[in-house]
Amino acid sequence: MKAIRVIVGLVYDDPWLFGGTLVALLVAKFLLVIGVAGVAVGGLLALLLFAAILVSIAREVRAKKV
Amino acid sequence: MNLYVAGAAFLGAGVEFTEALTIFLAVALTKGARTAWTGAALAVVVLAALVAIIGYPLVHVVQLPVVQLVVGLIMLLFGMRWLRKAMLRASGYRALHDEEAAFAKELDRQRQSGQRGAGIDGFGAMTTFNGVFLEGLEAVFIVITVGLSAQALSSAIYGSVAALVVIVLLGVALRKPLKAVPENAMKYVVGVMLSSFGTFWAGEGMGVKWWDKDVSLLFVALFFLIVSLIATAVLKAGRGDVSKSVGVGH
Repeated sequence: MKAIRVIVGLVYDDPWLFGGTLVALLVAKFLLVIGVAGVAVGGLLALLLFAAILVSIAREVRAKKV
Repeated sequence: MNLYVAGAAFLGAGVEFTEALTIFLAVALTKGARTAWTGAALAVVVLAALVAIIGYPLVHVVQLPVVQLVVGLIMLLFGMRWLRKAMLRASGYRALHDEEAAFAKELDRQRQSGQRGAGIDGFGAMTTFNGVFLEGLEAVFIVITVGLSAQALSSAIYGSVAALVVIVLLGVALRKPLKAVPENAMKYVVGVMLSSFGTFWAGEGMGVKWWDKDVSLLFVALFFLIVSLIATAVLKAGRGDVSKSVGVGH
């Protein structure tokens, strides 16, 4: 049971981080499909993924400050 | 030998083994070494079976782009979570993981569960099994994903085995939890490594054509490292509590 929680925990521990990761990947895939250059998409993917971390951190920090 | 991969596996597995050792020692001291070893050995057997079940199809059956995408996703999920947690700890918004406190808590839990008997204690063995299995599971994911992504599985295995040997030797020599291990700094570095590897491989799996593979990976890693350090510094400054700003570099 705990092992399942560890794996599922990757998702439910922090849904904003998981959601942000998925959005970043979907945006990258969409840009690739419409023909944007791979190098640009790669750079944007790294930016979006880090943005997801920052959003998730900002939410936790704000919750602790309130 | 791919040193980058071996290093990532060493650090990542090392953090997990340090946490498992704390539980193992608490059980060994309260319920006896036999009980602790029984739980740990069972966990290792189950983990080995899992490695075979997960690892074999990834290496031999599934097509490379699918492997890259799946492995990249897993690395991202682990790496970004670790990096986020390490940034929060380094900036003082979360307490650092304290092996001594965890050890004391587990000792107390074991003592409350009953006196040490002559045979193997079921509660103690189950505790060791849980601890070793759960920490080992994360180590296994790190080794498999880092190793497969860089096509250097043997380097990842060497790195994790080296971590195991170092942690076990230190544990046997000191017979107390390894509180001096800079867990947060290790988690930070591995978080950066897994996030950059994950970005690279998930991108490649989706069809991103990176500019000169190795150089791009280095740039992505540098990006995650520099931006996360800046963000951590901003968080520290925003918190206005320099005294608790420990973690990275310790």
